[in-house]
Amino acid sequence: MYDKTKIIALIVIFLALLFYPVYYNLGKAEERKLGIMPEPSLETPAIQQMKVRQCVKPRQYMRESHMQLLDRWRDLALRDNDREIGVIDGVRYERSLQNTCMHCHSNKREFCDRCHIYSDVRVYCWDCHIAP
Amino acid sequence: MTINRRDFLKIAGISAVLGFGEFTAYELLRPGELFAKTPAPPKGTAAAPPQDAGLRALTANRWAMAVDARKFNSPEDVQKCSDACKRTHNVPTFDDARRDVNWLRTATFDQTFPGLTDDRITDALIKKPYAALCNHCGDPPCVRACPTGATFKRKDGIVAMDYHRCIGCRMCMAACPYGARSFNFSDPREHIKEFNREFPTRTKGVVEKCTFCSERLQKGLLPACVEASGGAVTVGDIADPKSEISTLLAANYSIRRRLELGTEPGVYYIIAPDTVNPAENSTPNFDKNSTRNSDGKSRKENVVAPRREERKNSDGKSKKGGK
Amino acid sequence: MLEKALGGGKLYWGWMTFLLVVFIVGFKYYLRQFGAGMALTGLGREVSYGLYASQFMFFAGVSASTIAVTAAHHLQIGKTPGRVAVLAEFLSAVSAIISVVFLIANLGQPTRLLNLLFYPAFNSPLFWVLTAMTINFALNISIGWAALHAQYKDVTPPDWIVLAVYVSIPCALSIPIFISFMYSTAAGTSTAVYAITAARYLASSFAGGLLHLYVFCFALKTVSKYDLGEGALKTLGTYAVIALVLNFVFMAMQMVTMPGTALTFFAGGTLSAHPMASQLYSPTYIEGSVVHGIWAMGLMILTVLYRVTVAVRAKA
Repeated sequence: MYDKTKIIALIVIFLALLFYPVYYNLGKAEERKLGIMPEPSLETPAIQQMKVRQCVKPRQYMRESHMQLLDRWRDLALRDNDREIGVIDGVRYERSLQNTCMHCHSNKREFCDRCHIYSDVRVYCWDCHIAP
Repeated sequence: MTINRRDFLKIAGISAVLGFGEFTAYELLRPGELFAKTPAPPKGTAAAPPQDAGLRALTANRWAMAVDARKFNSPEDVQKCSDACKRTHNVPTFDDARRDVNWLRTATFDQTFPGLTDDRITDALIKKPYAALCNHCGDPPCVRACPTGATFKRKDGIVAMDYHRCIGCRMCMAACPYGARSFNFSDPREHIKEFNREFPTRTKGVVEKCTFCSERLQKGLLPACVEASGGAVTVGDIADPKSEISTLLAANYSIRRRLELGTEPGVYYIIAPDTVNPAENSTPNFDKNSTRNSDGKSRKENVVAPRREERKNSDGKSKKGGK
Repeated sequence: MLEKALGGGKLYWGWMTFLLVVFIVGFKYYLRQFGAGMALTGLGREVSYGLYASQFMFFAGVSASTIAVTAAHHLQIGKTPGRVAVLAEFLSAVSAIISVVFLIANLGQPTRLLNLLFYPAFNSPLFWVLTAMTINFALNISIGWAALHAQYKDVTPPDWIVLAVYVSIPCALSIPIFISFMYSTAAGTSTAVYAITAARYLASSFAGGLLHLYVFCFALKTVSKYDLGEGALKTLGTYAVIALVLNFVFMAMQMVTMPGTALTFFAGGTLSAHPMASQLYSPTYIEGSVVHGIWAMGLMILTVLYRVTVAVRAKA
């Protein structure tokens, strides 16, 4: 085989890079909480006071598409100036991340961050929006 | 089968283009069908909007503002409005005059109305402070210049900013003839004096300006500067001949900034050259953040070169390249 | 043909390594700006555009200017500058890339770069500059590659090149014009932008770009054995000088018809009465340092003009 040394060396390096995630995490499943589903916590004072614990949309929809909802709300609130959503339990709500969503879910670290850190999604909402 | 290298590359290239193009073509012909469907939000889960939804919001066909310059006699009067704006919207305060971010600033007569400056102008005009802010123009050059549509003109006349879409190219800052826009050269969070937890801050790298308090208008509140000014600033619907601002402007002489540029500004300044006297001992230049003296020479002590310490984190550790 | 890029002597690889080191250092400093924000550039609220924006506009102009050489060669108009045309096309493509890199460095939020594509604003001159530059880049790189390959194989270039050059002429000519549109949105509209701005930008882009190309070809001739063709450098120099002269003529015309406080030069106004003009050109306005820079640049350009004219006239 021509250039045997170069080819074998490069194949070894390639395999090393390819399997890097495997041996980086070898034996560290406990410590890094791999494979454990994150459980975001809903226990906040605002939610505990609600008579019926319900969000603006059902739980499954929120799990799948909360980002799409936030994008749609953002465009409606900012670009179309359509900020009202209605009254829940006698309190008037508007389309606002800080004042509506985080009003109930005021535990960002136990709610938002649990899943986002697990799935390594870098969320840059908090660069501007003030986290509770 | 043997194939020429060139022909192989040509076939590969065309297949790649077709492969990518297929998505686009499908998307154009049947929009939305290629994405995994998320179920439509079920109806009736939140309470129905109240009957008076939208009635409490203040609306107008063309928002405008009348600044009664006769009532602003000292820089502190304008500073009250500026501080109210800063508190409500988490606007940062920087020591370095170059990085100054300000939605409503105190300006001198020749900074506000450059075409009207002359050799001898009555003290009643030239020694007063003026509130300079975004004019929410009828034909805004910043909207024209923005390459992404991050700043746009709403139907009710307010020129709004979408901070999510701004890429920070600063073309709007170059285009604005009034200097109403400010760029966040560094992370503003460390420089905010008091936080209003109901309003977001901005991040580094976006341009910001007065938003006419549109979120307060939606709740039926007047803009922050109007409330803080104690009657010196009025807002209203200038398209409505019976509104307060229309009657105010019909009864008093008012001017706008840099009319010759054709931007149709929405902020009117009521001036009266012969009445109220300015505060004692006031000088024409009281904008302490300005980098120029009143005679145009540059004021070196207001330009501070960024030092390495400025880039430390709030706990004193130095910042490295990434966040 | 790519295998030619891998063969080369010590000088070649030394130059490549040097460029790579420069690239890595520049990238490292860019990462600092990415993390700390644009405050590192020393720009401020009153001066919000600095080197990044000016280099963006300059290289966009350079990228547009090579059309003079490309059109002359491929369309057989006027004297053909020989094999310089291929170099011109590659210079145009590379300048377009440099220009876009400067634009990206100028952005406060570069991660949102694709917003320019997702939400195009058809009323914005910046959008049109980018569109024209992209089309020009695509055309130039394909024409350049085809022409270079034809040279490598010693055949005549394919026929579609003529059509592509015809299409790229309006694209290239429109780039400096759109840049002057970008300039005309600037707030000093009443004091800095005149009717002749678009024409002046065209002339100065062509001058800058063709001189760039001249220097590049001259360096190539000195360092390598690449055969540029008979009198190619002389023809290129002629074009560059014509563009430079036009540029100075337009500048002089602008200065002379620039209004003072209300009157132009001929109507009795003086240059020093006009704030913008005196800040840019007046030798007695010492306060700002930009005047020194402009006079220095003017002297340098005149020197270059003189040298290039001499060189062009010297060879038979």
